[in-house]
Amino acid sequence: MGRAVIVGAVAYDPRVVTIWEGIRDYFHGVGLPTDYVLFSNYDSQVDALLSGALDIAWNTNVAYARCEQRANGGCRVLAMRNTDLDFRTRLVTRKGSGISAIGDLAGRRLALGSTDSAQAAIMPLHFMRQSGIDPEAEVQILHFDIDVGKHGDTGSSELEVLRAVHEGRADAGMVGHATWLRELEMGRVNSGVVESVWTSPPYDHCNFTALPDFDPSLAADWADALLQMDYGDERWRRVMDLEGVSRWVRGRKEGYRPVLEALGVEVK
Amino acid sequence: MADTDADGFEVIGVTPATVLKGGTLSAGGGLLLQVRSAIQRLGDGQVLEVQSAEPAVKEELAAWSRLTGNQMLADLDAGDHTRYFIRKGASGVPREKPDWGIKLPRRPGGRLDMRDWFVGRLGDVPEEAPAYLGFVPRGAVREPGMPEFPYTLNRRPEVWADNIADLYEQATAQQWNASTDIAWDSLPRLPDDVERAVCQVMTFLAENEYAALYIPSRFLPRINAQYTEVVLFLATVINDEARHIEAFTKRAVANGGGLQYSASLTEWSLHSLLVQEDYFQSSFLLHVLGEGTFLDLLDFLARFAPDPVTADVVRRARQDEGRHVAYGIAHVREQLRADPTKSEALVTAAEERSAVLQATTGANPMVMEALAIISGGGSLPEQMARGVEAVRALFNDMHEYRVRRMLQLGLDEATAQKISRLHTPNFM
Ligand SMILES: [Fe+2]
Ligand SMILES: [Fe+2]
Repeated sequence: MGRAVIVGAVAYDPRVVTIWEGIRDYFHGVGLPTDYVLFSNYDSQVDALLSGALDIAWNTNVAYARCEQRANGGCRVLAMRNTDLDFRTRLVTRKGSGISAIGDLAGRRLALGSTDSAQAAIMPLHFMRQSGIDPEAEVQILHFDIDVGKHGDTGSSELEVLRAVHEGRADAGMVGHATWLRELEMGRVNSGVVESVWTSPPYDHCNFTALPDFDPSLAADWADALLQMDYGDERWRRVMDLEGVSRWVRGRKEGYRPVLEALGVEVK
Repeated sequence: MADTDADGFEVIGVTPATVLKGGTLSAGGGLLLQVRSAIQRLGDGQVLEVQSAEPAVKEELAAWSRLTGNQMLADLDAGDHTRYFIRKGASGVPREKPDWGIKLPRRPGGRLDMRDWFVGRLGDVPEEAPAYLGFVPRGAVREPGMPEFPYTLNRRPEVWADNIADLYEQATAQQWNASTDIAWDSLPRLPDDVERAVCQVMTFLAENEYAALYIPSRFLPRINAQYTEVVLFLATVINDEARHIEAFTKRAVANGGGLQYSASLTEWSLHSLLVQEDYFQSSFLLHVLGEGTFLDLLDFLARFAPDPVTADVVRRARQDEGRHVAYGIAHVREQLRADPTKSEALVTAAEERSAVLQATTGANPMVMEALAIISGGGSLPEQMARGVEAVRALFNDMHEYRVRRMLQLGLDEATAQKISRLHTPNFM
């Protein structure tokens, strides 16, 4: 076995250290020495991957798109969480606002999350344009720019969006379905005031990105090993819970097409 | 709004294991929470049927299932409601089931007694318990991936005593109140020399009680909570000792006297007890030797107390101490039975403690004098002579009973004699 595989991740929260200590232990246990490097934001992580300082980057879809842009679409998507497949954005509105579809947003107040969050800003703006709305000109947008650079991984800007809709500071808001469902399940959505009226088409969320020149057999071994991480195993359960994954799945590129499109990234 | 067992009807080739009737409950109004709990109770691959008359539920249930790794199989229109079928995804965890259907018997008078709760999963006291069980109540079904707790006593014989549930029930039944259960009003005025002697002894007793409080308090958080009876019993011990400190302190200041002198000898003795890091050795030193000796001292004081109030205080404390000693004997005996070579550790512990006091006179003269005055009835020469004689007899008794308790543990006579002599300068 050669040198350790170096994986980058963004420390959007202190628990990221716990997660990566666990993942490092896991790979050590399966004989694939892996180490990790933490970044404070995705831009630095993308730079590090492109410069060769990292073998693999644990990227959001936005960071992945930046990598594809700079690697001319040659990146490899090694693995993803089961929850990264078919991610969706929800349009939530105040009941009685008269908004029942994305096309009704013209002239209304819309709350969005951090500018660099795919699910709460980038994709919403993209879907609006697709529906023939010019968001900059026609919609009164209320942006909650919190933890910019972390691509909405902290979810705090999405909570602000929901609060703004609850409090009537916005007529509608757009958030990822994961945040919406969690708030709904925990009873933190007042169903008498706020409802979800539209669900976006699917797009994929995070992935382990590698550059085209990363050793393909090592890449395959690494992904295979990750996919074996067992949610039922005491040792990895906590790590997987913290990372929001119950099963690692093989990566796929096609799920990112809407995100690349939204960001204007053209790949061959 | 409750789970009901499916009555066996077959839909699209799956038989739901459970049916959840959601009525018009919205997803955020509690339905998703109920669905999660219902799924949790299923085995991997089993199917939950959710019935809902609320149309908006459809989108949320489908998305929720996807995100949580479960599978929405189908939804069927059933007229006034829709039937959703969700298959539980592979959680990788063999699901244990909690107890259900257990009803403990009542004892006469409607008592619900700890001695009767050793049934079902609760009744299964493990030989060894992993530290990650944390505060999971014994018998509850836990999730995997819990943190390690800082327990060091994770094996049953290390803490258990076969009479632990009896002792706990006795402890809760025999609690008393040092403010109101003692007839403080009836405390008679005593001659100064006798009052001073009582105050000196109360000072000494309170001092020892601090050790008896702090030592179990140190070990309690190291005991795996799976051995809950031991933990709960030690909590009563700690409360007993607090009450003893309170009662002895109160007696010292109740009658015109006050707390008297503390000797460094006593502090060295108690310190050597406190710093013992091994629970087995500590248990032996404190509960068997120390509190055992204390029983005899309290008996002595109850017999010679100059007034009924003081006698009542020490008698009540003595009853509590009896439980503490009973725990120590049963607990140490159990371990010696499993491993007789552990008796060497007891000799070592007694030797180490004795070494600490070697440079001293071997007894606290203030306390010795006070005990003589109390038992002699005063400080006149003939009273003192009688008192010193009684104290000598007390020391003989304490030695004899210590040896007897050690024989109960299964130690041989020679070892018991040796340990008891080593203990002599220490009361507690
Ligand atoms: Fe006590
Ligand atoms: Fe005690």
